[in-house]
Amino acid sequence: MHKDDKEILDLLSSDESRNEGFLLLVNKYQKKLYHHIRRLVISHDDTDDVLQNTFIKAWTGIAGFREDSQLFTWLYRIATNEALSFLKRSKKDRFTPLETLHKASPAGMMAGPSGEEISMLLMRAVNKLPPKQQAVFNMKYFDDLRYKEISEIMKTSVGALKASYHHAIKKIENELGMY
Amino acid sequence: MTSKNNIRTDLEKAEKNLKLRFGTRSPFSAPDGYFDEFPSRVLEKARSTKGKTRVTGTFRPLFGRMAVAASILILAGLAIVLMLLRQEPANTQAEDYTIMEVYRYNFGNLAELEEAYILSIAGEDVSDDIFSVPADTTGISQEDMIEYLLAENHIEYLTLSNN
Repeated sequence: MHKDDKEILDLLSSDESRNEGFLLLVNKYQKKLYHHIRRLVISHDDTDDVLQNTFIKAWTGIAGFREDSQLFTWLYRIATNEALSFLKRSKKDRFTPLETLHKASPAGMMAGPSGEEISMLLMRAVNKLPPKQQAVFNMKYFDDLRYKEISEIMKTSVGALKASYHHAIKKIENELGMY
Repeated sequence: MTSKNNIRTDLEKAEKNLKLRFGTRSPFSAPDGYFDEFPSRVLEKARSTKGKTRVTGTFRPLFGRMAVAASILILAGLAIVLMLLRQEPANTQAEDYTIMEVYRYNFGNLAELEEAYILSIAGEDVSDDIFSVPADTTGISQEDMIEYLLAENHIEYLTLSNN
């Protein structure tokens, strides 16, 4: 475990220093978790809600955190579950946030796509994957997590994760084949 | 083993190719100042949740159990009422109701005309054995009746028509 995480956990374990520990925890992980959630739920406002819920669950559940696992995998697990639950709840509106990705259309790229447009194209392809596969792909591809870490987060075997990632890559390749 | 290695090589190649073409940068960004204000905002919310969490741990399960028990009692009560209501027609059949009372029970309020019509056919006080053949009330014996029918060719006619 990182020394910083140990310090944060020590602060969180005491009533007097709990607020300080929580602020350190949020400051340390908010950006990583924000982008992880945002890639799944797309809209900023939804990301803000899911991120808040993630940290509130961490606040209320910190007593149940087992120190044999890493703090960041535990937080990623909460964030991933929260984001996937959110997607499940808002299944009917699923296509609304995706429209924000449509500006990166091939028609608008005749003069050559910009860096942001290229990233957006990739996100469009990723968003066509099933939510759990998206989460696996995002953690491996964007966050560069190891399979073992993703396995702890998703509570899935490493073999299944490798297969899922392989399928995801192939689907995205096919989707982006024309570019 | 070779095919396993091939899959791994294929995957690594595809991933590398994807990263070269599309990069790993997120196309999304948070509004300016978002990460500066977020920690204190979420702390405030978390602290207000703390109280609620304690309530959840002590009273809410009790309230939940009471609500479940109340729901079961209400459902059981409704089931009993429904059963009693269903049994009611069976009880009335056992008692000595008139045709009109049974008819009214089954078909609700009748228009006066319908009621008068039914009474004209069945009569208010018709007994249950309305369709049974009454005992000999004419004073004519069966032998007399057969003789009469033979004399009037009714039996022959009936026999012929049956063939």
